Amino acid sequence: MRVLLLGLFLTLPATLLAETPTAPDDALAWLQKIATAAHELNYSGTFIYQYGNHTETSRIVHAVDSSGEHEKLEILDGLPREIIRNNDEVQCFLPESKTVKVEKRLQRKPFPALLPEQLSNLSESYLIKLGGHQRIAGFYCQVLLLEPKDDLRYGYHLWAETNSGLLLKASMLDEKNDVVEQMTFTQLNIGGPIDEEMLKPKYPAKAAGWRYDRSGQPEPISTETGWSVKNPLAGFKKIMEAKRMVSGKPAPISHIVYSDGLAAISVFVEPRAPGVKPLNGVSKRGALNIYTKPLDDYQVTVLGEAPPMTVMEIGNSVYYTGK
Amino acid sequence: MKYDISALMDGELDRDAAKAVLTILERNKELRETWFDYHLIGDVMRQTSIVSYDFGERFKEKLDVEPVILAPRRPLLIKTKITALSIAASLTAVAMVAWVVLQNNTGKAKQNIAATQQSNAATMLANLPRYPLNSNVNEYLLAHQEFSPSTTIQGVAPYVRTVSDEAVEASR
Repeated sequence: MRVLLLGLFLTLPATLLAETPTAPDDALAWLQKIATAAHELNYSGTFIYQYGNHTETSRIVHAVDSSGEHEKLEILDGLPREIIRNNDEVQCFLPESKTVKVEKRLQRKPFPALLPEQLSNLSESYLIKLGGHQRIAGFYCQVLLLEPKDDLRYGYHLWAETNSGLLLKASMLDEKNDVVEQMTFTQLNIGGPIDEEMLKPKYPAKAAGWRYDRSGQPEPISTETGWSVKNPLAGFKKIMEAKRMVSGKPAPISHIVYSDGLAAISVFVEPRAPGVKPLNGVSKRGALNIYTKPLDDYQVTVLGEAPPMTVMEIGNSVYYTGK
Repeated sequence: MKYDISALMDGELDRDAAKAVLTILERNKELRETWFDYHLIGDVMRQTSIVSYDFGERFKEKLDVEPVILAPRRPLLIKTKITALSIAASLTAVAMVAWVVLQNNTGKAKQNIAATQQSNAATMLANLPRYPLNSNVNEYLLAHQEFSPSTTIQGVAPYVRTVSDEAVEASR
């Protein structure tokens, strides 16, 4: 009988055994490993992005060479769309309107890691635990659970490939533990050389009729926007503030980013051009929530991968500091 | 005009009318005083605790140190007049705070207001118009994603949240 029990015990799926409390240090080390893997490894694969009853398949290629990091994301379902990143420059190709939107970031480290203060910020807002092991796209993964300590943010379940740490699946969950958004690899190659051709845009650069929008400027006009949030929400700290030209916008935009270490919420304030109708409303796409409202002669837009109430509360607390 | 102010206070104006009155109020000091007077009268009639005529001045001082609290005047208004209120809220925060300050004399009232605020926020959210996403949001999404920790742990994958021209197509 004892032998039988032992046998049963051994054949139990690893997932049932492993959800024991672990020192958060282990979990934090895994997060760090995930962040490093995402930027230091060559990989290519296909993943599914799901929210509600919507499913979208994308192909992703990531390569690192002496010139830095190169990535391509190609949306395979519905109307095409391609995102190409070369170090700090991101290009978004929209073939239907023959537009390329270019966004460049200043002083981006070649391999951004999660900073120690970011990690301590994280444990303030989430209960971070190691879960069991599960197989995703043929790879064994370590499961990481980040339970939010309040309903200002979503919860995360992360699946990191055991050896490399590459994130193979990520789910975001609401306060009812329902999945609001999920990204899962269905096929993946880790390591090995990447053919340069795989990283090039499908659409010929400088082709007739294409419009390159390079109006965005990485250099800020000022690092003080004159705007702030009156009641910052628990755990969300300001990580960036700048007033600068953003691609596609005629006037300088004030941009402030708040983050709890994992979720980020951006506040954009743009002057409303004369004759432009003030907007007040919300939009949603998976975990992304957007709230826009007029404030005097400005239009305030708040967006982030956080619950709609959080995004709205930040939006309603935006005020002009008069500086 | 005074009738309009009274109607605005009672939440009886539609969105456009409320906006028009608020614009006038913003520009006209005399009418703004009327607005405050009406609130004062209302408070007295509702037998709210002691109100004095230099309230406006003291209130200004308080406003400098206190966060602006948006709260509905009456729970009754929340559902039916939310549209008028939400426009009114930003511009008439002053009057609203006046009301809150007056009502805020007991701890119990404070709790009620906090609870009302929470449910008010949820109601406000539920009543806001929902815009379909179109590719115009991409500029902001690209700028946002650059700073989001999700890019740090997932690389370019979260850019999947950008929007193709599909939404624009569909709405044509």
